[in-house]
Amino acid sequence: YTFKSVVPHGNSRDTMRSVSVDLNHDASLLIDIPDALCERDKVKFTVHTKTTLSSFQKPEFSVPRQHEDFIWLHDTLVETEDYAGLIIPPAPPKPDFESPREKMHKLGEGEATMTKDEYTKMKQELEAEYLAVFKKTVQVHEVFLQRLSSHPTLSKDRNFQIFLEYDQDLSVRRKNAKEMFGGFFKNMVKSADEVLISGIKEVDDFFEQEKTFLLDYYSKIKDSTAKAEKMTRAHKNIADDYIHVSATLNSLSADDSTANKKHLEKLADLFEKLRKVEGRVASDQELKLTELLRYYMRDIQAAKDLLYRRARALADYENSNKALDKARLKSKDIPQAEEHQQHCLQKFDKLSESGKKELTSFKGRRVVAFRKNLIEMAELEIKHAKVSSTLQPTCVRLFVYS
Amino acid sequence: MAASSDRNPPPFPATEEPGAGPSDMADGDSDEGEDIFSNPVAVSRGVSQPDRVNEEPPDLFSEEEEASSTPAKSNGVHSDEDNDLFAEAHVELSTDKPGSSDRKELSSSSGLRPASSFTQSPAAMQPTSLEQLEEDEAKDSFDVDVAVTNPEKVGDGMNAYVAYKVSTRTSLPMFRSKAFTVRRRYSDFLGLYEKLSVKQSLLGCIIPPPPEKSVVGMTKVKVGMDDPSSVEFVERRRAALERYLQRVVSHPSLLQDPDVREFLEREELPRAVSTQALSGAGFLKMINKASDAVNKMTIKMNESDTWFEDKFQEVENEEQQLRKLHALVDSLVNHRKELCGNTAVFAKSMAMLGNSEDNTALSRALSQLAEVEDKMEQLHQEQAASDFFIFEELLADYIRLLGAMRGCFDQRMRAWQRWQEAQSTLQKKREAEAKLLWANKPDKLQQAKDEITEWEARVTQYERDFDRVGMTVRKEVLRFEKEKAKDFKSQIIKYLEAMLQSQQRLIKFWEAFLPEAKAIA
Repeated sequence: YTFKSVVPHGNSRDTMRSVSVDLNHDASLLIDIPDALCERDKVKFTVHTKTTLSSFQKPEFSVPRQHEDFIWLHDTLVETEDYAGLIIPPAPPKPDFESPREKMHKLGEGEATMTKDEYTKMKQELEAEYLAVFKKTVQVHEVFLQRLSSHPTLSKDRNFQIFLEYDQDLSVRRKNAKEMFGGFFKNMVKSADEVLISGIKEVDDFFEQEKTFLLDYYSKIKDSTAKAEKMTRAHKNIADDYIHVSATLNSLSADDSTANKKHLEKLADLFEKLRKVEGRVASDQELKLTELLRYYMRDIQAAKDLLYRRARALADYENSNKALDKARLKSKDIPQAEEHQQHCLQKFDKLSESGKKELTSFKGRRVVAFRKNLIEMAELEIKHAKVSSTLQPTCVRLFVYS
Repeated sequence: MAASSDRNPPPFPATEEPGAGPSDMADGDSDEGEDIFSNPVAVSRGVSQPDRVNEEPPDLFSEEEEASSTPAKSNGVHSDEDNDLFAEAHVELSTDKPGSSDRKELSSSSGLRPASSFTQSPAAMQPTSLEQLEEDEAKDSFDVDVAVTNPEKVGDGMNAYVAYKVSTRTSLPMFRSKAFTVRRRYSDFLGLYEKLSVKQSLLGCIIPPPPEKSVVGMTKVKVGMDDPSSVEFVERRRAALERYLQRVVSHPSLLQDPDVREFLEREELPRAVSTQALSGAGFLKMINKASDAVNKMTIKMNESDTWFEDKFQEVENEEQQLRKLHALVDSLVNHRKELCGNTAVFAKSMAMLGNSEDNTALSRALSQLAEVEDKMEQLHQEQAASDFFIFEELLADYIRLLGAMRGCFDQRMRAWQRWQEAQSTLQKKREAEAKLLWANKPDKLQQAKDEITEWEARVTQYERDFDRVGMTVRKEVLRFEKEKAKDFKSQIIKYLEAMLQSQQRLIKFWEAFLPEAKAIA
């Protein structure tokens, strides 16, 4: 099954751009993804930039980019030493159409067992699901770029500029980068983190608290994300059930020659309306709640990465102290050892200073995003329930006056 | 000859009893504390006894009207504050009095009709059109209400059983008093069904079937009645038994049956032992065996009246579709229960996250969100109960009833078969007589003539029986269809009302949460 779609430009997308707020307001560098093409599950994003900065060649331009290009950009940022003290915005996850694709396949297999109407409605639901996945992936890629553009340091990154501007295929650069770094730095950080975190004696209260908080929060939010996903899936199952119930009620009604005919018809109609509401409840919950949790889970991972890098720098500093002591003892290579120690200390201090700033602003960002999404979710739940609660009395009235 | 009594016009034509919904009668003893139901298990309270009013109503009519005009009470779990929200819905819904519109004052002489003359009355009246039949049915109503309540476990271990209170309220003089109560167990209900089947189905009546046996369900109950699945099982059975009895007493000829009266009135009922075989599968097998026998008939019926053929086909199709729908609704119930579980789990997770959160206002909001989700779980639970006890059980009832209807079509076929066989026997006897005449055996001739007379009478009898059964089947089908339409209507309205209430509460919960979310800083 091939799915080709273009994301429309316009206000409707503002509701999608919800997980991170206060981005893309600085007119000196405005980025968005106005449209994207999905062909055979490979997504091509159109990255559009508007800028007043002289570092760019043109004031406005667009380039096509693939998911792998975003990953390349993210990885190069992570592996840049200068940015070790920053929270690198989490890489957007790979576009995943597996679920709707599998369901579409199953639907095709089961086509013979359902009525034409039923099949059409199921297909509609699946197409909506495809579209939702698609919109989500566009959103999450867009937010990644906007996080970068609104960061005072990262927005000036040379590779970022290349990403935005370079009008050729980036795949050559991607290959070179892999050869250069081989993902070494990243892998090393990840595998060493548990040891580092537990072994390091923390000197700064702020970081001690942050460490405790982030580690705990991460495991809780990861759990909540998984549980929210399950909740949404159950809602979707119910919406699907409503389709089948409605279709069968229609069949029953069609063959009925008694007074019951119209009762069945009306009930079938009600279920059809209910499934639309239920479907929207599911997708809104997905966007406002599940996506929110998922995003901040990844963001907290990025914050944890910062802590690990700082812990590593502290470990390096402590090692350099030990090396200096050893050098003094042996009276050998003292100036190198001193220099190395100073270097490590500076690095550590720089990381700590920038880290503190980053983590503080991260808190604020998180709170604002949660607020916005929770409000929107509550409002949508109320809206859908109000729609739903007009359906029953309307249907009942039809019964009474029939 | 029985045939001659056919021609006596009965005092009243065939009737129907309106309001065959499951809870037309409130249980006057609702204030009796029942341990099993002391937990407000939303599964049982919320849905199956919607018309519980706490004081004895002065008479049946006013109580029923009261119940149907207060949708706020229609779901056992509601809070007083909900009444405001209902003001609007109230106005719109109160115009409906499901089932009460057909209730009329009962004529005094209706209780005197013996069963036999009733079933023959259609032939006696010789109604020429179906419209006339319908009109006649609308004129009559019965005044008997039954309720099945207070399941109680009796005994211990594997010999334990559940006894139900069967309460009857009536103004019919044929009963010993106006209101009385007996205790019955499940096998008693099955015993009643068997007795009725043997007697009445021969005449082409649709005998309502009771709920199926369930060894698994009952074994659990024998072990202990307190866990949720046992509670659900007992409640499901209680509600089904109540509907079963209500259908029996609302059937005009069944109500006249002495076995029914005995079931309702007699203090101690002899234990029905032959009910071992009648499980759900057993019942189906019985019906299908009858159908097979009919199919294997060598003489194929030449249906002069296509009504029966068409109707039978309709019934078969409908049964099939209902089975499909039943399975779908079952899947819906399961998914909703899943949603319940997932929501509860999510609520706990959210509470943990709230505790972990270091921003005070956000932490509070997350905890509140956890509470809202807890309430949502409750709503989903109630909706699942409604899906099951109102919608799914309605479908299950009608699948069983359609099976019973197929059974009565088969009865008609058998009556036809008997008639045909008698005709062929008569033919043989006539041929034998002719042979004897030819062979000139005068002594055997008289015997042959006598046999011919006998079989001629039988042929006439069986033909009349067949016609009569046909008429009864037609009437029964008509009555059934009307009842079904009413039943579906009232059940669907109940289902919708429960759903509406759920949505109203959902709105309130989220509206209460909104300021908490806005307070995050």
